[in-house]
Amino acid sequence: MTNRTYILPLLLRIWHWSNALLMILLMISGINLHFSYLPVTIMSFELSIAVHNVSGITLSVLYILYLLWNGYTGNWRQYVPKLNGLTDNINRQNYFVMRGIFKGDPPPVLPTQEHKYNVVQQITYFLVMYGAMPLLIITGLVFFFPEVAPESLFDFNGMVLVAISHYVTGFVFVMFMIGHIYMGTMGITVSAGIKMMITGWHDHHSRKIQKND
Amino acid sequence: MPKKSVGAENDATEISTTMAGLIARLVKTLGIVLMFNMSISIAVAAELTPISPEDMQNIRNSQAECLQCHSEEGFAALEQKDFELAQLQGLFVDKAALEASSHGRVDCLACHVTGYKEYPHFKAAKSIINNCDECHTRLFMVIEEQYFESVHHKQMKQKFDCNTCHDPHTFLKASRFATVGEAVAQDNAICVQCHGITKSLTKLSNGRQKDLEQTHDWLPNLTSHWEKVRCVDCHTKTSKKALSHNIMDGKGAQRDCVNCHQLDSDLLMRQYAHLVEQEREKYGFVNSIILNEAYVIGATRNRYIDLAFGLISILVLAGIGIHILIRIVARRRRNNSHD
Ligand code: HEC
Ligand code: HEC
Ligand code: HEC
Ligand code: HEC
Ligand code: HEC
Ligand code: HEC
Ligand code: HEC
Repeated sequence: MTNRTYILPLLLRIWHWSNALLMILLMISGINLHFSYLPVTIMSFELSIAVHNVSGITLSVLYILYLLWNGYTGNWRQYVPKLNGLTDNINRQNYFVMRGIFKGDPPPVLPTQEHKYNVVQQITYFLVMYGAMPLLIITGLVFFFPEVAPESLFDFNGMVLVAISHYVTGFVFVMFMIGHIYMGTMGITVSAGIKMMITGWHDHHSRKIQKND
Repeated sequence: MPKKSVGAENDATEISTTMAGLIARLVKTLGIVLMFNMSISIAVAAELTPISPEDMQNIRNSQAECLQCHSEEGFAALEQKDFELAQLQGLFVDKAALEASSHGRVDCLACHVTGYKEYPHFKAAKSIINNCDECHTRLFMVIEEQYFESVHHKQMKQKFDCNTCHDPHTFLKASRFATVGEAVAQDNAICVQCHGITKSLTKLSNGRQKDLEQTHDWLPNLTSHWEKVRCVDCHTKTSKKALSHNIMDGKGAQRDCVNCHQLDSDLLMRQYAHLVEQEREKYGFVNSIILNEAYVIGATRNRYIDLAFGLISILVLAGIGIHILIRIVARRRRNNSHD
C-alpha cells in the first residue's frame, strides 16, 4: 500500500471551499440581520441583506449542481451507511472520539477513493445535505416570494413559521460547521484531513493502519 | 478493537450528545411554534364612542335621503327620475364604504350645509361645503401647520388640500382598521393614486417624477414593504401625537433599515402605535403584536430560541475546548512515556 492516495478531485475541492466561504458569509450576515441592534456590527443591515441574498442564491445554485452531479455519478451512495454492523461501526467511532484519540490510536476508518466517509460522517452529511440543506434553501427562497407562504398560521402571519424554520436550520448549519471543522483535526494526524481537503491527497502516514473489516 | 459495551454505555460522544440536545430543543421549539394559537388576541381596533340606536337610525335616514340618488343602489331603485344617469357621473357615494368610514356617523348635511336639501340643488352650494377645521379644531391646526411644510404644499400650492388625500366619504382613520395591513393599503392607495406604482405620475408633475420602483430600488423585497409599510412611515418624522403631515422629499425620508428592523422598532411608534398597549410578550416573542401581520427581521425575535441557541453554542464550544485540552495533555503524557 502506498502512503498517499488521491481522493478528492479539484472540482470537488473547489465546491467544498466555495460552500465553506458562502456559509461563513451567510453566517456573519445572518447574525447581523437577526441581531440588528448589536453594538458591534460587522457590516450594515443593507449590506448584510445584499451579501445574504447573493451568497444564498449562489449556494442554492451550487446545491442544485451538486444534486445533479451526485445523481449522475452515483456519488450519493457515499452517504448511505452499511446497515449490517451499523451500531458496531458507530460505537467504534464514538470510542475513538472519547478514548482512542487520547491514547494515540489511529482513526478506525481512513478515507479511500471508494469509501470517503466513516459511518458518523455518512449519517451527519446525509442529514445535512439532504435534510437541512433543502429546508434552508426553500425557506430562504420563500423570503423572496412571501406570497407562497401561508397567509396566516393561527394568529400569526405565515412568514413567522418560515422565518423561524430558516433561523433554526441556519443555526444547525453553524453548529455543523463548528463540529465539522473540529472533526477535521481528528484524522490520522491533526492536519491530515485539512491537508486532504486542500491538496486532494490523503497521507496515510508511516504508521501501521488498522484495517477496516 | 474496543469492547462494544465501552462505546455504548457512557461514551455517547459530545457530538452525539449535543446533537441529541439539539434535536430535543428543536422539538421543543417546534412545539412552541405550533402552540401559538388562539390565546394570542387578535389586535383589535379601538371602539368608537357608543351612540343610541335612535340617533343612529336618524342619521341613516337622513343619509338615505341623499343616497336615493347618490348611490348606485339608490339610483337603480328610483322610480321617478328627473335627470340622466350621466349627470351623476362621478357623484355616486359608496354606501358601504361611507358607513364604515370615519364619517359613517356624520349626516351628509353636516358637511353639505345648505343648498342640497332639494333637487335641483342650489348652484353655489359646492362653495359652502364645510372644511375639516369647521368641526375639528385643535389637532387640525397642528396638522395644517405640518402640511404647510410638506413637499406638496411647497411645490404645488393651489391644487392640494385635505380632501385631496382624505376622501371625506371613505377615509377611515388608520388605527380604526381591524388589521394593520388594511390600514396600510388605504394609506398607500392615497399616495399611489398620484404616485402610481406604475408610471402614471409623470403627467401630474410634468415629467419630473420618476417611477416609484426606480426611486426605491435600494429597498429590497419591495412588494413586502409596500404591503406592510406606509409611504408616510418613511416620508415623515415620527411624532407621538398624530401622524406628522410634513411629508418630506427623498432627502428627509427615512432610509435606515435598522430603524424598523430592530428590537426597538420604529414600527411601534407608527402603524402599530395604537396596539402597543396590548403588547404582551407571548411565548418569548419580542414585539409579538407585529407577528399578527408580519415577520420583520430583527424586530420580531424569540427570546427563548435565541437563549437556547446561545447556550447550545457555548456548550458545543466548551465541549470542543475540553476535548482539545485532553488531547494535548494525553499527547504530552504519551511523548513523555516514550522517552
Ligand atoms: C333627486 C335626486 C337627488 C337627491 C335626493 C340629491 N341629489 Fe345631489 N345631485 C343630484 C344630481 C342629478 C346631481 C348632478 C348635478 C346637477 O344636476 O345638479 C347632484 C349633484 C350633487 C353634488 C355635486 C354638486 C357639484 O356642483 O358638483 C353634491 C355635493 C350633492 N349633489 C349632494 C347632495 C346631498 C348632500 C344630498 C342630500 C341632502 C343630495 N345631493 C340629494 C341628484 C340628487
Ligand atoms: C365630513 C364631511 C362630509 C360628509 C359627512 C359628506 N360629504 Fe360629500 N363632500 C364633502 C366634501 C369636502 C366634498 C368636496 C370634495 C372635493 O371637492 O373633492 C364633498 C363632495 C361630495 C359630492 C361631489 C362629488 C365629489 O366626490 O366631489 C357628492 C355627490 C357628495 N359629497 C355627496 C355626499 C353624500 C350623499 C353624503 C352623505 C351620505 C356626503 N356627501 C357626506 C364632505 C362631506
Ligand atoms: C361636519 C363636521 C365635520 C367635518 C366638516 C369633518 N369632520 Fe371629521 N369627523 C366629524 C365627526 C363628528 C367625527 C366623529 C365621528 C364618530 O365618532 O363617529 C369625525 C371623525 C373624523 C376622524 C376620525 C377620528 C377618530 O378618532 O376616529 C378623522 C380622521 C376625520 N374626522 C378627519 C376629517 C377630515 C380630514 C376632514 C376634512 C376633509 C373632516 N374630518 C371634516 C365631523 C366632521
Ligand atoms: C394629488 C396627487 C398626489 C397625491 C395624493 C400625493 N402626491 Fe406626492 N406629489 C405629487 C406631485 C405632483 C408631486 C411633484 C411636485 C413637483 O415635482 O413639483 C409630488 C411630490 C412628492 C414628493 C417629493 C418628490 C420630489 O421630487 O421632491 C414626495 C416624497 C411625495 N410626493 C410623497 C407623497 C406621499 C407620501 C403621498 C401620500 C401620503 C403623496 N405624495 C400623495 C402628487 C401627489
Ligand atoms: C398628502 C396626503 C395628505 C394630505 C394633503 C392630508 N393628509 Fe391627513 N393623512 C394622510 C395620511 C396618509 C394619513 C394616515 C392615515 C391615518 O393615520 O389615519 C393621514 C392622517 C390624518 C389624520 C389622522 C391622524 C392620526 O394620527 O391617525 C387626520 C386627523 C388628518 N390626516 C387630517 C388632515 C388634515 C386636516 C389635512 C389638511 C390640512 C390633511 N390631513 C391633509 C394624508 C394626507
Ligand atoms: C422604507 C422607507 C420608504 C418607504 C416605505 C417609501 N419611501 Fe419614498 N423614499 C424613501 C427614501 C429614503 C427616498 C430617497 C431615495 C433616494 O434618494 O435615492 C424616497 C424617495 C421617494 C420619492 C422621490 C423623492 C425625490 O426626492 O426624488 C418619492 C416621490 C417617494 N419616495 C414617494 C413614496 C411613496 C408614494 C411611497 C409609498 C408607496 C414611498 N415613497 C414609500 C423612503 C421610503
Ligand atoms: C419603515 C420601516 C422599515 C424600513 C425603514 C425598512 N423595512 Fe424592511 N421591512 C419592514 C416590514 C414591516 C417588513 C415586513 C414585510 C412583510 O412581512 O410583508 C419588512 C420586510 C423586509 C424584508 C423581508 C423579510 C422580512 O423581514 O419579512 C427584507 C429583506 C427587508 N425588509 C429589508 C430591508 C432593508 C435592507 C431596509 C433598508 C434599506 C429596510 N428593510 C427598511 C419595515 C421596514
